[in-house]
Amino acid sequence: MPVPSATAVDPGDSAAALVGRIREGDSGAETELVERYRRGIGIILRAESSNAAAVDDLFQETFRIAFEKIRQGDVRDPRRLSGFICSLARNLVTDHFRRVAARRTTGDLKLGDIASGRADPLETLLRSERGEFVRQVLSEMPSDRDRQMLFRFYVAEDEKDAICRDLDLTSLHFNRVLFRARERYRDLYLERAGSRNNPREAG
Amino acid sequence: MGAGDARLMEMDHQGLEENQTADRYWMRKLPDAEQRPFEEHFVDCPVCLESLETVERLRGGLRELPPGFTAAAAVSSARPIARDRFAPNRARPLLTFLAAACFIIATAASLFFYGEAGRARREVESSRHESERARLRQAELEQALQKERDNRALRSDAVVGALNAAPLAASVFTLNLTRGASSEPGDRVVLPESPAWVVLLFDQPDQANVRKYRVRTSTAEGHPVGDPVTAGAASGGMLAVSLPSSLLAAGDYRLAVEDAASGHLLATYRFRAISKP
Repeated sequence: MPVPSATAVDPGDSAAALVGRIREGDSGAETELVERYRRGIGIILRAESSNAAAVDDLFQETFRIAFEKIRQGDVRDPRRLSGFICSLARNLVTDHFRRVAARRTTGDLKLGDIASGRADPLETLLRSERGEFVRQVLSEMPSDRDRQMLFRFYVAEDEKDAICRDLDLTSLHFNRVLFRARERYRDLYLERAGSRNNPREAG
Repeated sequence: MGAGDARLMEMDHQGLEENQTADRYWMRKLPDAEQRPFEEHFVDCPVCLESLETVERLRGGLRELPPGFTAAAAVSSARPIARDRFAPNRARPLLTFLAAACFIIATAASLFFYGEAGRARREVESSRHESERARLRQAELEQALQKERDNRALRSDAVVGALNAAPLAASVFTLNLTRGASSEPGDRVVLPESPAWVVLLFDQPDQANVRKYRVRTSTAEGHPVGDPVTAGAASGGMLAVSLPSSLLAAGDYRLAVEDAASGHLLATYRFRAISKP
């Protein structure tokens, strides 16, 4: 069933109102814009780059330029604010990779550009610790099929058709099995991670 | 309201869930035609944001599995099921009969479908062209990405070459919060004789709503030491950063912990680096 956007107010209307308020110099509206789009923009950037420092910088830059363009009246259709800010983030990511490539050819490389090339020992250690914990949680899952589903779909990134074929599942059945496997894994993870500091990181 | 707005507003969440759209987004398996509208939708949709973040955490966790687990526990355990499907069993004669019947029906039907084949072939040809164009574009992008990864690794090797001899050698030091400005640093960091990593552990500042911490290291005189880095979570509610020892000489240093989003200073640590006696 089609589901309208979660907010009761039409998103186009609220976006246009937000743009109007920013243009009038309402600093509260700027905070509101960041709050409204920070999770989504973070996802777009993290999907494109695994370099946390670069993602941080691009995140700041996206909003800086967004404010600048909104204040200058460069947003042609304020109702399409979401589209505007998504395009902005995507373009900045593209530019970022171009700049890194250009610096590479000229030899003008900064420490930040190479920092992600090799994991440092601390990160290696922590990763190994987390990996061992996830392995333990997976091995405690009672259903072998759940383990296979999670591993093959999320880690090996096997095609859905191939998994369906091997596990004798229809497409619809696959969706249900994957959903339940995910839920069971998350429940078990959170249960086992009860005493850990940050249970959200992989659950 | 434009047609695009209406389309975005009415994205079918059940359909997105059934098509594993969030999963495919993270796997970069969504075609452009789906990816763009989906992004424009989810940036303003709490339901999709929640779904995407859940998948991100799940994938992040699972991808940290030790490589040994991969083959042993998941892939190999998938095989018995596949083998079972083809193993001899009591239903085999019936299946053979059904297969033969299907073959005869299919042969007869093929005469009927022969006329349809020409039209289908043209459609397939057209799809193949489309697919080929997409494949070439993907190949170009993958090639560019791979080239960048290779070059990045090469640069990394050049700069931290001295550390390669012992990439896991690290000295860990715990820092205590600095209160007041005048006292000399209480914490000592002993620099190793040969290049190695220095890991600095410190308490996570007691601040709500801070998602990421950025750390700036500078000399006591305020000269920056390296670039700012993001602190990693260590056990016991602590944070940690690691620095190549070659960045540090004997002397006093200041480590400033900031909110990565706002740049606000949250805590300051001071330490004295001393050469190994």
